[in-house]
Amino acid sequence: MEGITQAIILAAGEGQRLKPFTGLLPKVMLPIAGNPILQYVVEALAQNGIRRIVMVVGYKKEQVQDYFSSGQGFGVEIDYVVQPQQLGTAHALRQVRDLADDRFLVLAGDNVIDANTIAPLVNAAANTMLIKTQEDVSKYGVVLVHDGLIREVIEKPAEKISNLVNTGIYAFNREVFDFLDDEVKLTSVIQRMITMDCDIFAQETDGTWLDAVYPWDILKLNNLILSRISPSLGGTIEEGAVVKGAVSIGDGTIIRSNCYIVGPALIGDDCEIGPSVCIFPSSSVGNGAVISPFSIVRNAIIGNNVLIGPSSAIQDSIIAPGAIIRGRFTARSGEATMMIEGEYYQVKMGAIVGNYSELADNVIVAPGVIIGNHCRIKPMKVIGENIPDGGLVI
Amino acid sequence: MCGIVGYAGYRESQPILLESLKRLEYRGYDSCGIAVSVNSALETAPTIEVHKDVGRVVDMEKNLPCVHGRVGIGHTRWATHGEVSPANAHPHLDCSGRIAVVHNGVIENFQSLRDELSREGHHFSSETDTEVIAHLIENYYSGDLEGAVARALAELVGTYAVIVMAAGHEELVVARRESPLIIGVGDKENFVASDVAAVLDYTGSVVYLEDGDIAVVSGESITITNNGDRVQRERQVIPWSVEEAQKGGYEHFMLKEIHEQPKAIENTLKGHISLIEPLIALDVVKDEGLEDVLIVACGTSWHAALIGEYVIGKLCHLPVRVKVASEFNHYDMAMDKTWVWGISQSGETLDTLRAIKKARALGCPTLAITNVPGSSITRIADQVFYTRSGPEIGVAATKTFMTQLVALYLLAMSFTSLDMMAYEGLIEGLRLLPSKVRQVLDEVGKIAQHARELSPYANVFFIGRGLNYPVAMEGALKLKEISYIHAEAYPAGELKHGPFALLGRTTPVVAITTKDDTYEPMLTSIKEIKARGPQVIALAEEGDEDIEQFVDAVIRLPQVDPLFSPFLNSVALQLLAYYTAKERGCPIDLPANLAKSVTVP
Amino acid sequence: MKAVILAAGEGKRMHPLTYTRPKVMVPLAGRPILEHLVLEIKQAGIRDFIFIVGYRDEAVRNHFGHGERWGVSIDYMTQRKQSGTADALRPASGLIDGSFLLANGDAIVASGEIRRIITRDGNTMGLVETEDTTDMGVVEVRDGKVARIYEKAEPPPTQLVNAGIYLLTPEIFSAISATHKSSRGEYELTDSLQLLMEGGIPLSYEMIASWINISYPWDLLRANEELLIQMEPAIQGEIEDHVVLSGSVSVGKGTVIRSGSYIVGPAVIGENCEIGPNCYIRPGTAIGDGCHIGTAVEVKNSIVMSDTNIPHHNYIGDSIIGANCNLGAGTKVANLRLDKATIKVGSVDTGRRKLGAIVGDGVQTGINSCLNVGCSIGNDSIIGPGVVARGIIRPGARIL
Repeated sequence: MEGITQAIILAAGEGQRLKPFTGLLPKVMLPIAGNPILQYVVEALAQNGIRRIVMVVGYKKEQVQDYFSSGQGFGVEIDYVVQPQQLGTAHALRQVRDLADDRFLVLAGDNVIDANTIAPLVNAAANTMLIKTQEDVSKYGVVLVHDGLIREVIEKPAEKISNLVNTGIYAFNREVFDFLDDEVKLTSVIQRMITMDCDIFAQETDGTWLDAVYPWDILKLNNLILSRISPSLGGTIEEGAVVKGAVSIGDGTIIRSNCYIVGPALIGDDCEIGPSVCIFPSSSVGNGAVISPFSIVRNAIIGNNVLIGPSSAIQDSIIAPGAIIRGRFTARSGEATMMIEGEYYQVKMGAIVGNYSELADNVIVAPGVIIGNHCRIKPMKVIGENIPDGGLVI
Repeated sequence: MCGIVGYAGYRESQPILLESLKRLEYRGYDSCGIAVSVNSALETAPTIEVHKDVGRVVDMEKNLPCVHGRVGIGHTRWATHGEVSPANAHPHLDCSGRIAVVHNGVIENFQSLRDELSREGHHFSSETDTEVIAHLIENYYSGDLEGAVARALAELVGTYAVIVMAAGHEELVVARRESPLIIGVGDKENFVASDVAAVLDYTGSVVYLEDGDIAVVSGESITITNNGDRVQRERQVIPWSVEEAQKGGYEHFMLKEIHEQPKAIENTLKGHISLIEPLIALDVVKDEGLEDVLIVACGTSWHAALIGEYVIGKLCHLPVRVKVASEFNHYDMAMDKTWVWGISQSGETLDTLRAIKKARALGCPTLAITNVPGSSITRIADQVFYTRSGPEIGVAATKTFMTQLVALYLLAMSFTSLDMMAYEGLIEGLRLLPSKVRQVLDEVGKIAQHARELSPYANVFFIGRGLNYPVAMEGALKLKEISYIHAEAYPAGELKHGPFALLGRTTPVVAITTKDDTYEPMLTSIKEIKARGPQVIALAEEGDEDIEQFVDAVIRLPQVDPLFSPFLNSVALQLLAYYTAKERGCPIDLPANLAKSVTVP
Repeated sequence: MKAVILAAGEGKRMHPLTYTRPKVMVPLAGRPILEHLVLEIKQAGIRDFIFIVGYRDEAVRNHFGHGERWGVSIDYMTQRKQSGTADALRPASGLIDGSFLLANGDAIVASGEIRRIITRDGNTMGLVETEDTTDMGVVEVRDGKVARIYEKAEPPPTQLVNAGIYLLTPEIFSAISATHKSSRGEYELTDSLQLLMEGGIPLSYEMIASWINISYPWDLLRANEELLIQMEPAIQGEIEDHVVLSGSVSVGKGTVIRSGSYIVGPAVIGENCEIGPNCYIRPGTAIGDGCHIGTAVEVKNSIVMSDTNIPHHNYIGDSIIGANCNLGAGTKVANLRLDKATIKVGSVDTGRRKLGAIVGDGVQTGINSCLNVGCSIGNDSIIGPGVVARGIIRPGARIL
């Protein structure tokens, strides 16, 4: 029997919990180490020989279409289907009924995976759910497996009944469309199939599978992608600059004297770095960024065209594209309680600065603080609480 | 301003001619036609079969019978002489129907030639200037096609790129004078076209013909003569791929190119600026002793030049004049120590080429600002600044305008005598431009909303002051050319000297406001306009709360140093024009009566 | 009979060597890969060639012209868009009247093997038995015929792979017109062959023993060695007194080998080179035309392309140095890890314990710079004085 050659990627979601980044982008287009999350999914599929892709798009769909276009640049053929309102994963799947093959994969566009992750599904003959062992299962759908079949899916269980979670990646036969009915979530569809004696096989994977739900996940994903980059040096690296470990530096970038860069780290094209800037592991710097002298960046993501003034310290933080940050900016890491969509989380992280925000000299941001898009902060401010989009701190 | 193509080789020519013509439709598309040399199976003499019609190539293709033949020519037309009709479409034949000609350019003495030829008994079947070429060649033809073409061309006054074929000949005879023509060099096949875009699918190796060249092109060989002497023209390898010139997911090339502007600006700036040093490094050298700058350009490039005039005036102690290139040719003024800059996206704009030639004749050093490597302007100017925006297909110039502006700012800033602090601020402004332009593009949805409101009107006024007055002109031009709405641009202070008479409820006004010394006078102008009834849409920066009370709608743009406001305002006006045209259902990439590269006088 | 050679591909895995030339023009033992193949095919009795060129076609055309130098006749056809092997072959139909030999231009097959293929009747495919079938088309045979061609199969059903050399009848052109795009988005010749077989036209096969196939730059080193061993020595240049030539050494026209040079074959030195005085060239080395190898330079098991200068106090071992490079005095290459582990280039394990640098065209190095094991340097890069170059360096980079 031939392997599966078609995949359906659910890429319509907004990603409310990932604000401010998703204010201007759909969740699947969030850049991780220079590429949108969705690209990692597409590449993993192409590497498994699955080159026909149907993308269900919705929220800010133009961005997805602009980037991936016909798929030609990524070695795949992409058809787009619009889900005008984000009414759940089952609803999304219902939109592609007419385009689906006899057998196909279904994946979420906002999970970082690699080719190994889905390799075991490519030859699946029957309806199969890809599952994975996780330490902390609290935010996932946990599955009970018996005789290689899925018996039950329990969303966010209060007690730890199993270590196996649903990755949201499936191989389906067309018969799945008969069970969609008007369910909202795919997991409910699965549950319905199980109750109606339609077997769902369990297939465990040991490949990469990470999803982006909360802002701090972005740093984790960045770490993961950076851990597998191959070093390559471009641009100009001046005498006296130290570049150690797996570091990728783009074309047209200049690394001035006395910079100290330790990989894994990725620096895009046309950046100006230093002199005397330190960049420590797990940092990504986007294209066209400027990092002025005596600044230090550690485990942080600096977006495209960000400008960072002299003597700044940025740790465990994310600076979104287009932000302008003047001198002596400090975003230190620490234990913080972050509120996302009304729920509180205890995390260790630095600051988050949204797109195009402008921070004047000597701004200090407390751990876990989120500054929205298009904010303006005057000099000498200590920011201890979240600033909404367009906020002004005088 | 038409597109012409020719093929000689071993393959069926018809599909190649059609595909090549489609890639030239940006040059004109009111009608089209092809001629193929057919070797009949019945051993009668070879003949030429012609098919032509009004409309696009795709429309003609639908009703086209399959014609077999390995030599052919084609034409996509933008009418200059004679109305749009099948008879006036090219190719044109002589009386015998054995010589076919396609032509791009204008024959100035065609009327007298036509009268003479008619007297001699030639029968004309079209109103075009081109047809006289076919009949002239017929007069001289006695088996030697090249010789006949050479003698015919010697009688023509005007500009031309022509491709001639004759029944029984395996070769094409092609020639140019002041209209572009290239030969794509293949294997056992050769291609002739107005532009490399037409041949990129088949070959990346191209010969640019020069004025006065006559070439005989067959599948096997290319021989070029000029003034009777054999000449060699260098082969060039074109770095652009076919894919680079395609739409990539966007509905129109114009929208794609609008969205490419941040990247295009980055490319123009690449390697030229450093914020940390700070430094602007250009290869362009200003000769000692030059006292002023004169910029010549046409159309959108002329608008860029007008903005450049303000910027150079503000940043440098250099007097600047700007002339429309076609006017420069009628212009007499002292130019002893003048540096002449010519701006042409394609590098083939005939008026600009002539202006540069004239400047050189007057002994002025010249600088070309262009996007196309190897184009004519790069071969005649002393120095060249490349804008590096990549190929632009949409007829309405967008990213090439933006990068021309960047080029002018870079030039102005590299000759500035400002102090370091101000200089650093300006370099930062340039460095942040791509990011600021992206911010405007992020708000596409809001601008599309305003476009919807604008779309029903028949007339729109654009007003600006200072360096945003040329931006208003460019905004009006964009709206005119793609949405077919009549648009006028005025310096805001000029309205009261006449145009007020036209203002009313049905003439909306787009007002560009800038937070510099023009802001207060602009508010005054807006109040005067409002008093006469029009709806006013203002372009204003974020955080300008005052403006709301004076106007009906505001398009918000990111805050920047007013010196850089033309970039953001231009992008907003491009989007406004684009979505207005889209709302009205206009053919955005191929507007009526317009062509991309204007190679006629 | 005509030979059609597919020479349009870029060979991305061969970067940085293929930024400036197509894969078929990478030199081995003093000649481009394609030239070796042309000579073998000529030896097998075919004189009429059609080259299908595309990527950087000028490099092929400028080198081969119409084939006069080799006593063959070469016609060219251009495939501008890389749309697969079947698509590349498509326009050749007009130039072909009978059965023809089709060969990939980037693999070298010995003339004896070619002769066996072209004396067969009907469509025939060359097959190679290999242990590692990664990235190759695996073929299943039955009753002396090809039964099936797999694009990729895990695990491979056989150890037989497609050698990229075929005897084809004009029937292939109708199969090509009926071929659809593959899942890779290309028109694959193997799909066309599959269609022929399904249409009842059998595809025979011929086993090939001598086959040199290059995937990655470091594969060149072993192939280079193999070819050098087979070469007949020929001295056409000037050899000064007190030069030692031992083993099979070829020296091209116009080349001067100055006193005190010590050259151990197999080695080939191109035309118009200046070698020595006092240099040491060790086995397995191929030096292109117009090179300068100066005093106190040791070169071992390496390929040095044309017009490159390695002028003073250099060590180059197990390396490939592109054309028009200039190494500063004292620039040395490390070719063995101190822990003796196999060497990686980027993230690819080469399986070699000894591998120096892979240097693109036009690279300049400063004095006393070091190129570390497995480093790959993009064309036109600059490595500053005293710098240790490591890992992948992109084209045009300046490491100061």
